[in-house]
Amino acid sequence: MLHPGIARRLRLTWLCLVAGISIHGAYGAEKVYMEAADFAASAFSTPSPQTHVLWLTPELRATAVRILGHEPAQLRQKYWNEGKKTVWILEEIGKEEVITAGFVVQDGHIEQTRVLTYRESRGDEIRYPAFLNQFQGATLADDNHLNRRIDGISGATLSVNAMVRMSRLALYFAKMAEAK
Amino acid sequence: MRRRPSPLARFLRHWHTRLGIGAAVFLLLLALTGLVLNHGDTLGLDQTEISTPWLMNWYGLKTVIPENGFRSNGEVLVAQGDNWALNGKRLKQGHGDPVGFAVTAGQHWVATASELLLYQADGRLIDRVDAALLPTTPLRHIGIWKEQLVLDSAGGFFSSEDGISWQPLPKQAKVAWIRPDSLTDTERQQAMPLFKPRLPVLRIVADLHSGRVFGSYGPLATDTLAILLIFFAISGSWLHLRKKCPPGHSHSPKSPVPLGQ
Repeated sequence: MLHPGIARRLRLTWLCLVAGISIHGAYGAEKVYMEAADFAASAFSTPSPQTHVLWLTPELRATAVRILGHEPAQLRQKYWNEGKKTVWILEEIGKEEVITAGFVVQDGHIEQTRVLTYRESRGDEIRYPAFLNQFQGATLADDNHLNRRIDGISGATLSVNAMVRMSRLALYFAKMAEAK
Repeated sequence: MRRRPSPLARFLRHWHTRLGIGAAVFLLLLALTGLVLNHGDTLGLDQTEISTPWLMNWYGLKTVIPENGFRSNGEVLVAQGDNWALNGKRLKQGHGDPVGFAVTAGQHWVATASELLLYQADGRLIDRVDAALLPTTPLRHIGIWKEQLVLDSAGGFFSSEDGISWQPLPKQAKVAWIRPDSLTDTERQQAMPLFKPRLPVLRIVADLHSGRVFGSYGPLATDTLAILLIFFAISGSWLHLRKKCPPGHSHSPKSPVPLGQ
């Protein structure tokens, strides 16, 4: 038989433990920050910019594989343009889920970047201007890497890497679209 | 003179030992599954699927082959939820219930209510045309007119060659609409392996870790184990500290009186 004092203390401890337990199912929810069409429209002076298509030829596909580290999800890439300005909506997996981001490219440099849809359970700090502003003005070096270093965010490394890969791909696609 | 251990010390020592042995088995399971979960992506376990019959039975998943499919130009699309098969080959990017399938100029179009997917004959995704680039949604059916794709949508009928630029369909156009059609027994047999239930290995490991693989009582068992571990941490620390510094003695590390003797 337990001493009543000990029994009381144990009951209290048990209650505290049960009350303190939280069931943590950190499942990611899709967060849409901006629709792709709205992002494209916001980049141009015309309300309905013309949609174009860039087909991934074997050469383009091979370079896309080198940039992404895997096969691109699709063989046809849509984009919008007005003059020398192009808008690219790209998707890339961060850790497990696809991140959708928009890139405005003008004269070979990134003018604007925005996270449009984020589906991972953590790491959505990449949507803040403090991080995204680092891409402004970035260009593509000869080795298809950015001409600058992008500082990471603790706990969002894979999302940051995905954004860097997408920015390189947007610049590469813009170069190829201009050369068409 | 030896001091008798307090009732609390005796209680903690007694249960710390007995419960600890029982919990060790589960602790091992938690540690192993935790390790696998931490490195599951690197090991490719999120992409590796398992369809072992007894395990699928345990999860309550059964093979259900669709009764109907879509036929266009002699090619067949069979779909059920996110599981799509084109001519017996699985399409990985399938998502949602298709409302139509059409083959025009060698391009394979699959429509869901909200988007249009374009595939090569080998099943590779060419493009995904979402609601932003469609004239209207939801889509109801798709068909073929003069080698062009035709949409029957909430906002009317539209045709396109590339799925990007759309024109209203002329009223006199005679469209070959592609409706769901009954599958033959041979087609159903061919489709069977593709519609066997399967789960990613990582999902099963995660369910083992959380206890969900054991049904609704599994998470409760895992919660109990978590509480036991907290109990072990507290009782073990308390017993250790008490052994080092018994009450009523100096705090010298040489204190010679062990508990329970």
